[in-house]
Amino acid sequence: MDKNSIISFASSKNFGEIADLIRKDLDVWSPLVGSNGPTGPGPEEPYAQAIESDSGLQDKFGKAVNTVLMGEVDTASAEEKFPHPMLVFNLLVLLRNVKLPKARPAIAAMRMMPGILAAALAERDADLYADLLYALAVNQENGEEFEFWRSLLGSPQWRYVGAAVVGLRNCGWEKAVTTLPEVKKAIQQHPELPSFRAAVMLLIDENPMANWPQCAARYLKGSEGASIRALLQELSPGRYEVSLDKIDAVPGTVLDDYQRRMSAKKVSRSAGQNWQENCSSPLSPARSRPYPTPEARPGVGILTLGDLRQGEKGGIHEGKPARKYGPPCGSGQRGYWPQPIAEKRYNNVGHELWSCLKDVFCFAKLKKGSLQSEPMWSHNRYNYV
Amino acid sequence: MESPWPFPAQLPKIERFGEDRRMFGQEGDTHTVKESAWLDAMRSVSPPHNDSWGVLVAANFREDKNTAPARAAVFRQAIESAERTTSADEANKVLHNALGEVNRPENRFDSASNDACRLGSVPFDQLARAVDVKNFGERILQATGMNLRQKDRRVHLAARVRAGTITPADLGGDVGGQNGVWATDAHSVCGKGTDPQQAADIRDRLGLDDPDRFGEGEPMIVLSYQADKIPDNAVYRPTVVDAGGFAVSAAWLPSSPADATGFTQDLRTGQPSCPEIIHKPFQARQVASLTAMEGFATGPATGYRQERLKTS
Repeated sequence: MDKNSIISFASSKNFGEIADLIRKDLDVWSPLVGSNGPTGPGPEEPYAQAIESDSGLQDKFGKAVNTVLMGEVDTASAEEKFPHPMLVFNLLVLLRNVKLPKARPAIAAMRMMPGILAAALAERDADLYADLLYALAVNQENGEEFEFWRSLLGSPQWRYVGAAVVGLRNCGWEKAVTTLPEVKKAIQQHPELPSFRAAVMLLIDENPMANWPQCAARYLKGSEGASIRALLQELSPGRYEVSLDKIDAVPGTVLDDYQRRMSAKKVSRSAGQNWQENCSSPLSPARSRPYPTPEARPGVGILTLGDLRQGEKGGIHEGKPARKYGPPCGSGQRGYWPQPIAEKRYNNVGHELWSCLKDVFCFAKLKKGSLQSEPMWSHNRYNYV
Repeated sequence: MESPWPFPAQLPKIERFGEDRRMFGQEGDTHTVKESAWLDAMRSVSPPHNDSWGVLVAANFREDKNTAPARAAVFRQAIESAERTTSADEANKVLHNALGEVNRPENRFDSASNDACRLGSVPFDQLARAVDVKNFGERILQATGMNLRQKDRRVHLAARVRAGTITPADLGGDVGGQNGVWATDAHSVCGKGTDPQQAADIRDRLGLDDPDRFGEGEPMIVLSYQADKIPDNAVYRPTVVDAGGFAVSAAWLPSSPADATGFTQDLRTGQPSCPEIIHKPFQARQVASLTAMEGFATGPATGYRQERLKTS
């Protein structure tokens, strides 16, 4: 069946019927079995396309795949072999291509039978346990298998090590970056795997918004760390030279830095209610609350001084809801921080931030020389210096 | 421009076997009711991208004379063992399982049973294989879980190759799978430009007709390598049971046993185009160079279908 037929079928059927379709359709040979190189698409490809193009079907397909695989696991646990190894193979390939959270129970159950899996298609140079590990790497939840992947890096089987590299990459960039030295060592022992350089490149490409310089500096120490830091820098040009002009969506980092300096100087907060805990940006590891993303809030643009002042009592924005990044100011706004915290922040931070930023800009002008070049009679608001 | 490959003076003529339903063009074969039913059902298979796929594939099975008898027997046996084919879906499934049987290690193209298709020597000094970016990324860069189904990601990966960030030394795994490496003479592909129009021209000459993988705007990667990297120095003439991966490609032409190699089918004209051979997989790191083509200016041409249908 092609993608559109699968979508129209799945839209009108329950997951049991979809499971029947999968059993009928995917118990066939695949050119991907036993292959370590590019061939053609496998029979599961139309299913992967269908699931990706209609996210509403994800749960149904997840349940259906889970049902089919659980059936196979039941038989395999009794007979010590899978009755339909090609069906299992094709579904594992599907699971390494798309995320189906509802199929996690079946993946967990299959992890208990590595020997049976590895033997299922051994005569075709395929290791289904390795395919299961790749499926797990893609379908793990919140990097819960982090320690498992780390331990797997020492495996003598290059396929398992490859799965571990993928698993660590899918654990989140912060966790992944801490293990880069171990990954490098493991990859060097298995020439069948793509290079360490490729692994780093994929990690960067998968996490383009990550704060690589900060994380690399924190976790990658010593000479080994220095070489990896250099590789990170080489493969992500520009990310180490953040220019204010280029920040067009997430200025939270700038405010974080500013706030850090400020809080060190004079801001005091009661425990659990300070700026750092509640307002850090999505790029900051200290994030403790969800943070609205630019995608989630269309129209969000560059942070301006006016935005910092919005909601200011007596100002033109008084009472208006917060709509941009930066400190929420003013009472009564429907920002995303809890109201009491927002009020405190306004009282303590908003004014301070605004007044200090004025000083910063004034200082910048002085440094640039433009202030001095202006005639004394100018009505420049900063010419009090 | 003169072709670098010495094309035969007369292009291979596609012979027609009338209305009989013998497979593999082998005279004297006893065809069975099941074979006939299967070929009939194949004619009614119509994948979304190619409304004459079944007809073309059935024609390829009928007209290819190069499939070794032992391999043909394995294929037939798989069809025999299936229930009588009554629908296009069933015919498709029977086809896939039959291909599975032929691609078992003891039967596939590099087995002793296919010695008749083994060519005397490697006919080129440098070879090229074209792959789609998704397969390239997933298989030999292990970009698993990175959702290369998203086009911008595929384009980005191709840009990485073009910028030289990814070199052959970064690759893992093998080039090719269990159904071999399909390769052509590098001179037919490399050095012919990489802009969208040139890329589409190369794609059409290579007969890469899958619009999902080689459709408009899709980038393509060409791996070129020296002939001495071919395992055992063994190259084979492609046959219909080798053609394609999961399904048999419709954009494929049976070659004459008199030809030095197989040929790709030009998607625009339906005529034989570039020389084509298959050989065993080899390590991807042994590739000499990677060329990333820009996104194709157009989708795969379809002119070959009309041309082929005239004789089918």
